[in-house]
Amino acid sequence: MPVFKTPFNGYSVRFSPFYESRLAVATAQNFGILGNGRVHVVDLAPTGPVINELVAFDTADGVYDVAWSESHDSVLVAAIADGSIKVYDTALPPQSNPVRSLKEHAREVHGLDYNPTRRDSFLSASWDDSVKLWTLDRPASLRTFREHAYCVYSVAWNPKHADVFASASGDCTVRIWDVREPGSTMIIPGHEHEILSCDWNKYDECLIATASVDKSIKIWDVRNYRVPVSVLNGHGYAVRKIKFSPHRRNLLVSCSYDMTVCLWDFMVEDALVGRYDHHTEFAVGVDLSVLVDGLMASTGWDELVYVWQQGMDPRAS
Amino acid sequence: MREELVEMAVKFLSNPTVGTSPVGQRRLFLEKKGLTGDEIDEAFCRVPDSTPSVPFRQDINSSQDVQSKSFASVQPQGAPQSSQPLVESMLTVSRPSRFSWSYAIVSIVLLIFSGAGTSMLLKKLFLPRLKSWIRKVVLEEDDDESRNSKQSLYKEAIKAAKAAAVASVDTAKASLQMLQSNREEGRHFDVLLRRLGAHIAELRSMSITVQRLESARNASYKHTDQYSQRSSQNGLSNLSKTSVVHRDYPENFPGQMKFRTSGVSNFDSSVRPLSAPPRPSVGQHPNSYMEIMAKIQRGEKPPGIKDINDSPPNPNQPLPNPQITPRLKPWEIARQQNSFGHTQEKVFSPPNGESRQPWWRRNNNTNGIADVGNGMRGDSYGLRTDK
Repeated sequence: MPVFKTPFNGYSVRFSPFYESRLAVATAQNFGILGNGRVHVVDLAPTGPVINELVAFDTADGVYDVAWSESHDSVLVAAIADGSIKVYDTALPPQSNPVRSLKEHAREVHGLDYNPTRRDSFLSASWDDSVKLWTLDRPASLRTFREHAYCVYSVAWNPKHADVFASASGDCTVRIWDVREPGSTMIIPGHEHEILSCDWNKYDECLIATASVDKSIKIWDVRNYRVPVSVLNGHGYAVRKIKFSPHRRNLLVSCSYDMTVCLWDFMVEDALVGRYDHHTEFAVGVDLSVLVDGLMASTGWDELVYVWQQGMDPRAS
Repeated sequence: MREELVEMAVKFLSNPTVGTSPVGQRRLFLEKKGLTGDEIDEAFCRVPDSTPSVPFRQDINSSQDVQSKSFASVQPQGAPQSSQPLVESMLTVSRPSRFSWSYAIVSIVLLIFSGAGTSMLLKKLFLPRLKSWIRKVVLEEDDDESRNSKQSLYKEAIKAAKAAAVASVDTAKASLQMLQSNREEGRHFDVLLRRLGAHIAELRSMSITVQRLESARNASYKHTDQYSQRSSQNGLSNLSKTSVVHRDYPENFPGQMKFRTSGVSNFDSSVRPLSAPPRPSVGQHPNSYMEIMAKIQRGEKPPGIKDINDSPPNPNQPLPNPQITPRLKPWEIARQQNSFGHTQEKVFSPPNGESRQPWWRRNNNTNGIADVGNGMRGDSYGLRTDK
């Protein structure tokens, strides 16, 4: 399985929804504390397990997240630690990039998510406690959702309801929003500690998973959010990111500060179905390909990006 | 002697009313009538109760009686009037005639009137003079007193002013002393503050070294650093709020704690043209996380940070037309499949139609058919990858 070495510490990895061999990697210098950042666009070589870099974009501050546009195959957006959102176009030469710089957040932008159904808008989650809604054709945000009491770490669009999204925050709650409504429609006090990530089940639009600093992943049904549907324990440290499989109903993948990437089936008693500990530092980014079933990628503070097929050893060559 | 005149004189003298008058008046009256002395004496001899012409020898007793009577009646009059009754008594002694009460009453009335007159005189003339004289004296005394009192007031005012001046001088001296003492105290405080600052710097360095030693053995993560970022930029508070869990790691293991100091991430970016995609740097071992944190706390910038201008060169750059139409998501396909009620072929076949699949498609469970929407399968997850 190929590995890609980045000069900076990795923060996020995303598969392209248009090209099954393309990924975007967000990296930040000095663990994201202080320094520059870089967005890598890499390609999986068709001949052998090699990852080639297509283009890289340097930023003044660290890049915390990256998301591909669902409408334009060459466009991606990057969340920058200085509070701005940069829009890049890989079809243009690097000197023409970025094509947009959207600066509205007061603090670091930590999460991005592109609307997979409507394909025209995206959300940004920031440490200034707010979530903003954007489109590529407008220089200013369409809406600002400010209700959280602390940093918002992650946002996720609902795969079925194009106007519904969820936000996970450091105030230990997950809020469900509808862009047509002025405020949040539901508040799930899911954990006793900060919630770092949330994701909707692609096949059951009422199921949402939350990952928290308390090392657990909880699956909630929004119709009855008092009690979680399932609690997944197994990580040794805070769970940084989770993602439901686009291909399988019950499958979700998670990465944690215990340097492992875990595969879960929450409908099974023994939910942990796979564990990959190829990273030698915090594993902070993981993604499952929408186009290729079973293809997954992960990155971490050890400055490595792994792409492997589920069931195989990421470090195998 | 003229008998006729003597007879008339006798008739005259025998008149009772004449008898009350003094002898001298009778004799005078008779003399005025033209009688001689001998005739008058003859008349007097003929009158039965006529008074003796020789007053001294025969009427001494009667005159003494008259005098005693007159004295007794006049005595209450007082001394100034004593001369008058003496005169009258002498007059009456010369003629041994009978005094009646009328003479006493008249004398008393005369005395009373004289007394009243003298009193009136006194009141009108002497008393005003006395009063004015007394008033003058009194006024002089009052002036003297007022002059004395004014002088005393002035003296008192002067004394009070002197005392006030003295007191103000004292207070000024006291305030000057206080100012001096405050200055001295301020100097002492400055010295104390400098020493405290030195102590704090020493404590900080000590704590940093202690935490470095701890971090070499610890591995943990907690997102509570976000709280510390918002509270202060002090590195000490950041470090103190992270939870530390012991875990065995090699010494060269990079640090585990995540921090983000606010306010230090903004750099002045200079214009730097983007070069061709650089090769990833190789051979540079990443610095320890704690070392980077310590550097930042000391105010040093970690090495390798460049000024990058990442602003869009053309903010109005139009977005390109999409080259590929968006594909349906697997779950949307599954929804369609469920609604349509029949399965479709796998949509994830390569666009170029090659039978040989790229390396990332080769996996254990692939059989060319997407089993979307199904439940879990025991063998579909492949091997459990253990360490």
